[in-house]
Amino acid sequence: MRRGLISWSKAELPESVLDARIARVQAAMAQGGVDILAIYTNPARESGVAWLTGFIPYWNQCVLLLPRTGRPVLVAGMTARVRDWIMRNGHLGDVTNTTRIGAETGRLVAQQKSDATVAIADIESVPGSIVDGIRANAASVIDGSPLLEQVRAPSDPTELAFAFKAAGIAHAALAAADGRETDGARLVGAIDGTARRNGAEEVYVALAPDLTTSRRLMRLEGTAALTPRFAARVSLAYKGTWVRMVRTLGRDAMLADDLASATSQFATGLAALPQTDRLKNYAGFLIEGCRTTTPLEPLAGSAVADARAPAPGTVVTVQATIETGGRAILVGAPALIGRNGEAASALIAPQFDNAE
Amino acid sequence: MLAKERRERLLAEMRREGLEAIVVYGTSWQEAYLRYVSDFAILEGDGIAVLRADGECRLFVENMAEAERAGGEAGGVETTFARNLGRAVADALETVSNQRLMAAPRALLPAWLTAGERRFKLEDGAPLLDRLLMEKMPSEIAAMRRATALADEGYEFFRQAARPGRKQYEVVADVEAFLRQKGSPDNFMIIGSGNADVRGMAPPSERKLKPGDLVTTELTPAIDGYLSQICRTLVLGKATPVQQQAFAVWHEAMEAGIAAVKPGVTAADIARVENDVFRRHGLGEYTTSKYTRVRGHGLGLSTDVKPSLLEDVDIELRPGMTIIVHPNTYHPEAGYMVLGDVVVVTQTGCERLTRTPAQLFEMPV
Repeated sequence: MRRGLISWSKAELPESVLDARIARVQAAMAQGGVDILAIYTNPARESGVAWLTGFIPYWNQCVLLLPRTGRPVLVAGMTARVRDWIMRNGHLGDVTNTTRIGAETGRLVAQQKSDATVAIADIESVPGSIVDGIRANAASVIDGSPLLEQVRAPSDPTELAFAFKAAGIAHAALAAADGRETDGARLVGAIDGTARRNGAEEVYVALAPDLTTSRRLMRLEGTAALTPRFAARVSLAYKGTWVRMVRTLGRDAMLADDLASATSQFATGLAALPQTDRLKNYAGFLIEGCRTTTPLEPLAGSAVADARAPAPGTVVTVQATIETGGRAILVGAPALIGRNGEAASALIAPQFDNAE
Repeated sequence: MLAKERRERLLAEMRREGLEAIVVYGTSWQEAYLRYVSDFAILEGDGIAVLRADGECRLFVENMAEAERAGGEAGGVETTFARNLGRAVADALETVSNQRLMAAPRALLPAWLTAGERRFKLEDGAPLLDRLLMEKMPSEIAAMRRATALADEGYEFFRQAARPGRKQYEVVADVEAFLRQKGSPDNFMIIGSGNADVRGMAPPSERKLKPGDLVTTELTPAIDGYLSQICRTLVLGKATPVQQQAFAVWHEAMEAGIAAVKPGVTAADIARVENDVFRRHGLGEYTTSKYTRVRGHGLGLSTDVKPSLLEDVDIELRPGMTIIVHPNTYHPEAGYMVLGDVVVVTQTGCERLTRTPAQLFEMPV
């Protein structure tokens, strides 16, 4: 559950930006014959509602109902006690607090329009109790994912600004990691604390404590000894925008040369996106991005069978495992997919001062 | 070891119930069932685990990074990445569709799994799992003791970090870094600062702490997956007579609630004892849902295991339950105040696990 900075900054996310996004969605709804768009949100699936209203739930679940005209209404699973906090932190017409979220959502759908066509974003992932509540009160229910995906791409300047900010926080957090550190928990504390002090809404740190035996990035419970070559990944959000960065560090004598080679290869592969031919030469890679409501959805990768091309002008996170002489380097950074044939570019280069 | 014990206990219950499989859903704010069954602490996206009566456990996750983590963190579990969890799990249940199956929590499962046209029927497994989550084994209580000790340490750190001029989120960042360094991967924490204008706690904001502020926090670190909690209020400077008098009511209510904890009483009994103290002091209005969510709750593999301490919850307390008694609410003159200690229900009463003094702390400024 979220415990980093959550607040709607109207300087960074003006109401006019949110109004423009709402207008784009409502225009698409009118074109598609959709009366109401329902977007589900919880701390693991916050991206749709955060993009449209700025609101991010720190726990529990909510459904946003956007009519074809007018302001969005949030049906929140939290008690009425936090109603004021929700209204302060989201660009919302109203909030209804309920413990029976499916039934209440259905009631509000019927209240808005008796024979509504309701589009539910990412309908296959939304809890059945909510889908059932809407179905029971709508003339028809369709998948709203294509509609939301279409209006979200390309990212607008405000969304890009959040991604750059998140990338900067991630870089600062990994820069706080010391390659001479031998205790995993201390390393995680340094990364996590730095990210949150820089305003991250949430932070997940994963480590591969010994790259000579395993390249798997895992969350520590307790601690682990860090060997001469290890890797850390930070996944974090700033105002609802998620990125990941990965850094390999340690005391290994070959590390500096291997890093130089790997980061150069990574930059080449990243620039070619959305083409992934170069990335396929690596020992492994993963591209993630947000299309609708899920923050870091797998789009393509060496272990992803059904790849989805990232849209031009959107932000993705790329992770790669690159081998040099049988030795592994894990590297990762967020990147902006170019438009009109432009090369993709890293929001921030995954390069660090290894004397740190 | 804990995970193995939990799974064996659940498998024994499944055999007793004649269940072929149990299906559990989890996400970062509803993690307990999934952790109980698969030992995976899900952070991103959703996950569903299917435990068969023969002990086979399959975990389906929709996030690739989570699939990688689960492959190393969830022992004895086969992990599958699936874009569409509902359909992947439905396929896995096809071979057992004519047998007795349960799922929890049913309300959060993808619609595909609960649709009438499925060949299998998922009964509500929440009562079974809730009982196991509430009534803990000795090894689980040992983990709760360690987590409570860390909550005490964490609050001591928080007291030093909460200084005038610091923003709420900076204070929380320091506490989170401290807990990570202590090996705790997770924590639930909300905060409030100010005076009578503050009606509750929330995630940290940019608000700077000021002399005279009441600073409230609910800090909930995890050890081995088990989350314990502490609720305390401090004053930046000297407490005013109003703050002291208000806190005395909170203290009386918490102690009355803890004194009532024993096997056989209900969650409602504890809540009523706490609320009666407020009513005697003319503060009964502030025990309602307008001002407070619950008067305490269970703790364990999530921050909010059953039972909720509310006057309409008739769950009986039983040995092995770990609960926090916290009469947290708003005071019209002092503002929002919190105070809560964790206890474990014993055969004859309860044992308090929290060691931090139950006082209104005054921090020099």
